[in-house]
Amino acid sequence: MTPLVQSLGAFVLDQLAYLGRMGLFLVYVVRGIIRPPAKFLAVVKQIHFIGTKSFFVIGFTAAFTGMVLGLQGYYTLSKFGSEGLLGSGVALSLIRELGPVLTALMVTGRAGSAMCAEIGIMRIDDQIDALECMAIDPFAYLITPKLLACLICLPLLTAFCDVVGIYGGYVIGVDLLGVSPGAYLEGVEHSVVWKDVYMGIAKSLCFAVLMIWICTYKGFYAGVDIGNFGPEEVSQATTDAVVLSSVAILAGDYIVTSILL
Amino acid sequence: MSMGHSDLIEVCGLNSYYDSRQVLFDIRFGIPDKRITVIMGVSGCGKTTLLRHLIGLKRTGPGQIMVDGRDLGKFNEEGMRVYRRRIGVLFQSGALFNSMTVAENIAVPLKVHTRLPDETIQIMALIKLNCLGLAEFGAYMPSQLSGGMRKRAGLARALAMDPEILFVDEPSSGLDPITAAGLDLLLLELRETLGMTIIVVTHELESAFRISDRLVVMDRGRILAVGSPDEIRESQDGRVLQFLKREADTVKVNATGYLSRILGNETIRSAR
Amino acid sequence: MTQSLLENHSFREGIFSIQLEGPVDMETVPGIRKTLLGPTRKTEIREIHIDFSRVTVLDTSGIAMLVEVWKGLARGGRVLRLTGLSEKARMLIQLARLDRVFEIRNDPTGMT
Repeated sequence: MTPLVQSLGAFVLDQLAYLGRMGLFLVYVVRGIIRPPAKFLAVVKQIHFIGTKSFFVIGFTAAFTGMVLGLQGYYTLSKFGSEGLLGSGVALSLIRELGPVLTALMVTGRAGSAMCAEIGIMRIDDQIDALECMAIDPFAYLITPKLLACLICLPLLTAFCDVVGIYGGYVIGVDLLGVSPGAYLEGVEHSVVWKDVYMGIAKSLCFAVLMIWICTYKGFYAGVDIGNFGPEEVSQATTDAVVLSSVAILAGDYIVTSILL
Repeated sequence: MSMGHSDLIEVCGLNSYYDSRQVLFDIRFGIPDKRITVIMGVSGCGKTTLLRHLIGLKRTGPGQIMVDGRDLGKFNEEGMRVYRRRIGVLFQSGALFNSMTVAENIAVPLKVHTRLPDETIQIMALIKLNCLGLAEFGAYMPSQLSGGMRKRAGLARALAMDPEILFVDEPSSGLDPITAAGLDLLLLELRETLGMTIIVVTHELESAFRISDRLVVMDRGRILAVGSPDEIRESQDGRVLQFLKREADTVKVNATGYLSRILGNETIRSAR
Repeated sequence: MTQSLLENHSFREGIFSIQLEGPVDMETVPGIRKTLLGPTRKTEIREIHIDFSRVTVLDTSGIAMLVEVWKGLARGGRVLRLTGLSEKARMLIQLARLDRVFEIRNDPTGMT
């Protein structure tokens, strides 16, 4: 009986320690904003890595999502004779929900996993220790630029996703299924209000923080708990990072929606 | 065991744990100024843990490490920063940053810690590279270099800020004997010309005896002996003799252990 | 923080002489460098003499700075002369394989 209680207790304490460590991690990363070294160039590089390189992926995702929304939306709305609302439906779905969520998930899969792997490899090769021994704050040097870049990129990519998606819906709805172009675009213009856009931006900012926090944390501590520093640990960390980020994004989506609605 | 008054760093009764497992037991020795100290022992004896304590990467565990008379474990952030600017560390793999060239690697601490302009930093990087025979390789990426060259590049980076104290983790691992000997010579030259205090952690017996001014022999988390190479070689201490003999006998395999494994026979264990 | 005081710099007959004092290291080099590179751009200067007898510390950044001054002078075959170097500074220059490049003298002759 005692060993069982002991292991349970140890487990709980370990989990608390991990949570604490994760919390401190975010604190250090945010603190890195006001600490040296100078970050402008690093942030620009990261914007290129996270943003520019995700452009086509997001474009594709948005196009097909918009098209499927157009298709499904038309099919559903036509049952009530409300095809004219297609524009509103597609636009609102994208701007409030699908734009931020899908963009975040795609960027997580592309950039989040790459960042986790990059930092994980640095960890197992003693490069992070090397930075510490050179009196360089590894959080400020490695991770803060990524956070800042993501906070800039994700809302912009989300906006891009929204626009392409709305156009995708237009192509299907208007060109293929015969919805009146005027009705579609008017629907978009009149049903989307600032609150919807604001919700989308707020979500993408939250998702940016979640993604960077989880992915870089997992890479940073790859192998540290087991005490084994090899490719296995990096691989495991990357998988965990993407899964955990995705779940967090979806959960965060619900939480932010319920707060802002 | 000699702990002179000119010791730059003194380890006083250091104990270290990984979770509940003790890996260092009451470590006591001194690191003299402007000399080469070699910490020697087999893999797993705790010397890497000891090194991590000395460079401030591991800070817990009872005992003290005194640097210039002050306890390293009690340094605040600013104190650690100052200490780390005095030291250079060469990690086992070189630990070069993969996303930048060799010259850019060397420039990293210079760019972060000084206001020197880029032109000056470039020349400094080239000077360091040249010291290590890598002058033509500044524009190469770490992945394009051999293991030995990566180590030398890592050493160039460790020397970028002209540190007073240099820590080297397993300098000869992964190197052929000739390159390893070359690295040893370089360490000796650094001590001679620049008066650098150098601490080397290694399992290579020959190299340790060749370059050390003070030798610290470790086994299973404990210090077996501390002294000059001659003192260690002439030591009458049974454990030291056994250690040296055991390590020198690289060809002889533990016959009984091997036989009992391969034959699965208990009685073999008692035979010698 | 001790600054290197740039004392006794003079310009006579095309020779710019300067005596550095204190540490010539990563902290002070950015400042000293500006003072030394200025003269290299003036065509009327044929030689630069730098006296190190009152320099306490010379590190790699100081040597890199000397290389930059030398490069600045190399156009037009002008000369960089160093005097008063400590033993350690000399060894550092030797380690950087630059002992043949700079003109190093023991005594500060011709310096006011």
